[in-house]
Amino acid sequence: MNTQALLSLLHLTSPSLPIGAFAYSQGLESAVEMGWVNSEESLHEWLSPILSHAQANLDIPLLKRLYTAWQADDLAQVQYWQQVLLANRETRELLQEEQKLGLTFYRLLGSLGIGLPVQAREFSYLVLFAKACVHYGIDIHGCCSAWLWAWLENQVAAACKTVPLGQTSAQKVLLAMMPEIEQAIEHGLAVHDENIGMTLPAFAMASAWHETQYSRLFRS
Amino acid sequence: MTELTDQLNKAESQRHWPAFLSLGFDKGEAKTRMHRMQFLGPLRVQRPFYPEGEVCHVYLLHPPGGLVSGDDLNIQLTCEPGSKVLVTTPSAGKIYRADSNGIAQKQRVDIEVTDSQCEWLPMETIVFDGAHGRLSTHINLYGQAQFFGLDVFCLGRPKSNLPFASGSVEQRLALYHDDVPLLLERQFLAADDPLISAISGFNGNLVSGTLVAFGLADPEQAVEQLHSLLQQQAMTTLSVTCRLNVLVVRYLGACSEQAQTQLRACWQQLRPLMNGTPACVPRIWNT
Repeated sequence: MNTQALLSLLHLTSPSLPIGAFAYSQGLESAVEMGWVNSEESLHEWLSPILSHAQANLDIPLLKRLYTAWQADDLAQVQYWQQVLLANRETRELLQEEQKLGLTFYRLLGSLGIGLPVQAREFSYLVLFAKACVHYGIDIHGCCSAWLWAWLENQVAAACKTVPLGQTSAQKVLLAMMPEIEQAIEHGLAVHDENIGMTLPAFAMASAWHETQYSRLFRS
Repeated sequence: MTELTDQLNKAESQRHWPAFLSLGFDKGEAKTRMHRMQFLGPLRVQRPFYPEGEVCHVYLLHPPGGLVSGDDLNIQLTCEPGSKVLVTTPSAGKIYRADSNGIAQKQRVDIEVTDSQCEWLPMETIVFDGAHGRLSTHINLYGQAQFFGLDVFCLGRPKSNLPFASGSVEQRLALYHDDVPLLLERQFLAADDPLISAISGFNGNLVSGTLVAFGLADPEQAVEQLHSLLQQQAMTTLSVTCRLNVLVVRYLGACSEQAQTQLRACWQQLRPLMNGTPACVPRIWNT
């Protein structure tokens, strides 16, 4: 990857990118409320399967397909995989996060002068993230690494506020999960069409409970 | 001798026992008619009956009681405009231990509902240790379709302390409306899968279940009603959400009876909101 592409990638996944990704905890806040996540170890235990089973079987294979579709300017394929992605989002809050971040990201890309088709206003975050990576010449491994890293960093930051978790513990979890990100990408890029998607029941239920959690820091 | 063994093994590995049942429903003068019934192999259906008048209640039977290696069950339901159908099964579906060749046991359910009302409420499916189950349910809804679907799924037999130590199972649920996917779920568990004990996975629970509802006039109101039911009865084993107009209730716990009781209670709560008539519990559930 050349320097410009790398800089664009760092820019796109910076927590300071003004799209508000930090406002979502994806069920983690409920898992803390339930007492399931209360330490560095249990945070790692909570996140690992989400990465290795859910993201590796959904987000990564879809990033790959969307990346290829954008490269070919094949809007019909983009729209097809967009529908598959939304149908796989388990709860209202996970779906809304995908869509709301999509809309903000769409506006941002527009203000950065990235040409988008008119349909793109309806596209969700992951779909537009693939487009941005194609636009800046970021390769698919970079695209997938950044997507998962941004998710992980965001989850760990959410844990710092809710568990709460100290900075050193947070850094340890980030570091411990780096090899898992690599495995998830390797697995995800090889997933066949018919094996896309994986539902984790407790994760889906925690996210659904979060929609009505009485006291919460994060959006639903 | 070796040749004979090879041949036997080959025959065994190609074993394939298809069973097929296709039912079609349409609107009659006073009640829904089951106008088509085709079958192959051991799948059967009892004569439909009408405990609530118009709605056609049907019990699906699979006399062998479970799937062994090579079994390939296909169930098709077609609900034509204006029909109202409720389908259940009198006993739990079982996916037995696979043979030594590990040949898969398959079940595929295809449901098509066009401007009509369908309730697919089978008993639970029990996946025995060593099974190689492949279960999928595809629901295609068109126009003003109304649909309830309930699935309960037990890994091993919790009460008899039979864990799921070998084999694998895949379960899919796909729901489309006018050919757009609205809910796609896939679960895959291999033997001793760490996902079974993982806190974000099955969290040590061997029974999971889902109730989906589509076609509610006001799904958000329905979600609120279910939330108050859940709070009253302190059901910590259930969650409710609604996305893309599909209401989804999930169960995760230790007991298939509890799963059925709780998910059916949600169905009973939702049924009047769907079509204005109270739920009519199939008699077979009480036995």
